[in-house]
Amino acid sequence: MPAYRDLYDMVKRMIEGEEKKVEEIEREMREEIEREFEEPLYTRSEENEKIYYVIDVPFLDPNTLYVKVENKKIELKCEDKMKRKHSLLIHVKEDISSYDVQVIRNKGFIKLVLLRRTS
Amino acid sequence: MPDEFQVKEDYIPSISKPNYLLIGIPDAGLVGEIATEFLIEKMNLREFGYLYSRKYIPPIMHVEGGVARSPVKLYHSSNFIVLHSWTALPASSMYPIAEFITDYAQKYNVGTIISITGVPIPNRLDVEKPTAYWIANSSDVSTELEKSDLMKKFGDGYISGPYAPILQVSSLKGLRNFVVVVESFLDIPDPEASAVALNVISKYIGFSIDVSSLLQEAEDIRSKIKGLMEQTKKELPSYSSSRPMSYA
Repeated sequence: MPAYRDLYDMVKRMIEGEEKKVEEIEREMREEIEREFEEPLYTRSEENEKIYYVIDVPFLDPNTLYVKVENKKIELKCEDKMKRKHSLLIHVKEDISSYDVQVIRNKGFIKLVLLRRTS
Repeated sequence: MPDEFQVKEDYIPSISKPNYLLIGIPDAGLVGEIATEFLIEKMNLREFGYLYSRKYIPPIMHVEGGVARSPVKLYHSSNFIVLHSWTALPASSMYPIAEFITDYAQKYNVGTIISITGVPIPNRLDVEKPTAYWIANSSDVSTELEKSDLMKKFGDGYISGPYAPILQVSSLKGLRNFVVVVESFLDIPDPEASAVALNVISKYIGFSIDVSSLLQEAEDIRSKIKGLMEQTKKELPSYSSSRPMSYA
């Protein structure tokens, strides 16, 4: 281990090293996901306090749908009827108070309705 | 290879009058692209030429039956020509391709240039049958379309992307041009909007086409054309970066 003139410098370098390791793990995980999953197309629109996302997953198997909205992130995973895996991660700028998921059956669309948090 | 758009024709097609030039370039919802591809397939249109340009066509070739060809091709029926692009075109190519299309229309003495595109609407998923509108390049064409009652007038708004310069350049050259604009998604392929556009165009030109398979196979089409939509999505912001500013 190299020598440092003060403790702060040493701790800072150690934290930076740990952050780099985490970033590297994240990058590897993302690459792994990209290899295994397809990213679906989506479109976004807004109306008053509502934010709409329409996600296009042709031949969606609705039983496999997993959606989580947390910490300004939308995480979506599902499979289609051909067992292809789809994954989508969307970063949302707004604070979200609640959300609703609708599946448009036989059309391969997922509609997310997010309600913006009002202060 | 030249910078500007050039055409290579395998033969000169015989096109009877009244004749039309239909344009399908990837844009909002790939409405025009899906419509012209469907026409090419269902009506067995004959490919007779292609466009090339070192500057404006991305370094990509369309491979069909093992043979590589330019992704921007020309097809024809007995009374219309289709210019169909299998790839998204950069914003810098919009005026040059408008110049090419209008010169080409003059060469074949084309009666009317018809472009097909989508107008994104936020509630597209809730709309069962998208509405078709028209945008004309002259008051003469506008009067005719109003009388035909096939579509609604677009009214006020703006149009950007590949079809805007075609409207302008064709007007400057005294050619007839209108755009069929159908309510659609912006960045999700919309075969249902293409079906609406084809119904309108078939009635306007006077041919019959069954678009039911376009609706039945919508999911399959969206799945197959996803890559082109991703490519087009990257170009779309540059198409509308210079939106006209007004207080209206």
